[in-house]
Amino acid sequence: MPSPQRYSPTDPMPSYLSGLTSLTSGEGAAVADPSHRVVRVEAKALPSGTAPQHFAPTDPMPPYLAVATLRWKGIPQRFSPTAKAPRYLSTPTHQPMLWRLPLTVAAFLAIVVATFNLSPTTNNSLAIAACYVAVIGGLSMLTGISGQISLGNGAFMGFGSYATAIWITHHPSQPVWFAIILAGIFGAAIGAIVGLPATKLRGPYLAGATLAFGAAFSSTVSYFTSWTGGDQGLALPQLVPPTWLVNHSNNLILGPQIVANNRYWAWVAWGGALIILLLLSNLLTSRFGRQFRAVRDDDVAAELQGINVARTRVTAFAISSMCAAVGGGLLAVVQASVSPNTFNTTLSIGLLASMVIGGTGTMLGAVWGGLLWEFSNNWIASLQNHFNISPTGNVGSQLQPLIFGGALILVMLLAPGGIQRQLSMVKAIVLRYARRGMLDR
Amino acid sequence: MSEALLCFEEVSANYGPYRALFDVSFSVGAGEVVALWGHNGAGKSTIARVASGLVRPASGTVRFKGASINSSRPSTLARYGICHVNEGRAIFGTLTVEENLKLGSRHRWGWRAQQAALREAYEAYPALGVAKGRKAALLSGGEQRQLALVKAMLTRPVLLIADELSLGLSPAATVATYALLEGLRRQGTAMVIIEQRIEHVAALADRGLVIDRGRVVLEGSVAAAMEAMAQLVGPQGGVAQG
Repeated sequence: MPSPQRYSPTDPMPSYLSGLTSLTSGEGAAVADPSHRVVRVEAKALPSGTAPQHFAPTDPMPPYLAVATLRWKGIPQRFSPTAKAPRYLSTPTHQPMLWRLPLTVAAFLAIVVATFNLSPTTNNSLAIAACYVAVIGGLSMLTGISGQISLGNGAFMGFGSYATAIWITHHPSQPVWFAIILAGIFGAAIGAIVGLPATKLRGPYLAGATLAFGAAFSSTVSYFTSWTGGDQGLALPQLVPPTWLVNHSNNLILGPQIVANNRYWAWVAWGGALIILLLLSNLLTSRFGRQFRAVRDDDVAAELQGINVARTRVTAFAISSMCAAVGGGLLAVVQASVSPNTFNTTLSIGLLASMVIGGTGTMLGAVWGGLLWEFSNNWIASLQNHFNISPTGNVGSQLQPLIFGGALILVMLLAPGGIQRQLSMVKAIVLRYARRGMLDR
Repeated sequence: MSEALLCFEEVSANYGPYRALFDVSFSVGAGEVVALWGHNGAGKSTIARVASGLVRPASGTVRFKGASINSSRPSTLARYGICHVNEGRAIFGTLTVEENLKLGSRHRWGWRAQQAALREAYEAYPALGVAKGRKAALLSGGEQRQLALVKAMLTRPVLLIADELSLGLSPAATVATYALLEGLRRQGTAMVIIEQRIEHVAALADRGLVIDRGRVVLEGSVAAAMEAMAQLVGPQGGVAQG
């Protein structure tokens, strides 16, 4: 910033001396200053021949996003031709879909096996937890990778829930997965619109803007009664396993109870959530993930690197709200109902707290966060039983935010990386001891 | 010169109410190296910011290859080959060295092309290859500056704007940095170099530009510019009057 003393008497007088108090930046200030000749130059696009051959003038974003998300191949760095660095210096292996898909399938199979050994109530909670996992995955990407804070993801979740519910109510013959995908697209569109302030607002200001959006959701939904059912919400037909699955288990003499409703809900919800996490982690290790992190690190340098910062921020916002909408859609399907009061500010803040406790910026952290947020209901219920606290009383109804708030503070102070960081530290220690043991032998 | 690559036509720029540039006019030809000299706060960095689109001119026209770039976004200009390595913040600290380089070569589509670009960088600067998995913020100051320059080189810039490259560097690191620039110059990259240490740029530059209080005081040969600069610094040792 040049200092005022650099002006000599012959220089045009700066506006703050001529009595004009305009402190706006850019051209506006120049207009306010009558002593300056201001020429507005018409915007003229560069001729297309100006760009060097290897540059695309602009990225057609949507197709590239799709390619980055679904990208199958891509070789881990330790096999890359440039891998010459010693192992301890090399980057963590960035596994593409080819390596992650088997892991995801294994995780899904583990969930399926687990549902056979859990009670129907627990299976139900497990299904709902999966919906939160999808939402927290998107939020984790937004906060941990792209560096923006959203306190409106509860509302995005609500948009997805209502979009799914309304679509299913009006088109009962259509498959459920189609409604959820539609809800995702709808959520992305809403997120892109709400994310527009993200191009200008930073940190706490953006959080405030999204908080207002989140707080407005439930009353807005109650207003449009004819579509949303008002305060009562909407009831959906219960999700039942498809006949081919039931028949198949009958044919294998396993009996229809094998695909009991609660189990099936858990499968569907975890299937959806794992697909979201798989696609997200694939996206985050692609060039888009790098761009998100570059913008988070230093937006000026990113802009100078040719990254359109505004578009990158809005894209991250849209993807995050898409994940939230899909999670909300899954929740509507699993619970067979939607009501406006589910998607309040407490949920938005609770999701953010769960994300931090689970581990910001990691997909496994989202899993821990989602499980914690849902299963804490059960633990808090038993706590209320134990201490004879009325669940609807002043203290009882606020116990969950209270406990999560306290846990959030503790995690920020003692373990900033959340559960996932602690787990990977434990893993590193175990591996170190295991290696040392092998060397000794 | 036949056609100027970058051309400032009576450009003024301000930060809020503070005017930093007053009707600055100069041009940089293709493949030409121009050094900008001047005191702290003379407006050198502002010229760089206007050229790369970070600051919009209040009046006048900035042309790149003949077309006005007054209202272009910095990211658009970067795609057209204007590469601005700004003071100390041209790398991404939490990204690894390799990821930084991948950002530099992000216009080369496909895994194979990108690996080729990385190999090119590592072969030229083996130190980066050794440290490729390290977070860029953990590199030393000299290595960070070198990484920023190599990253800039991978974009194959048409015009490189280097702002205070030797800031905080040891003499040896400065020499290495300027060796990199010499290589770029041989490839035909036009450059605008802002530097406090005149002696480093003198060997590299084709022309010199002396800036004082937001105005171009002298545009001419390196020797003339150095002389003007010496007069400007004068007995006060670099403190501007006013």
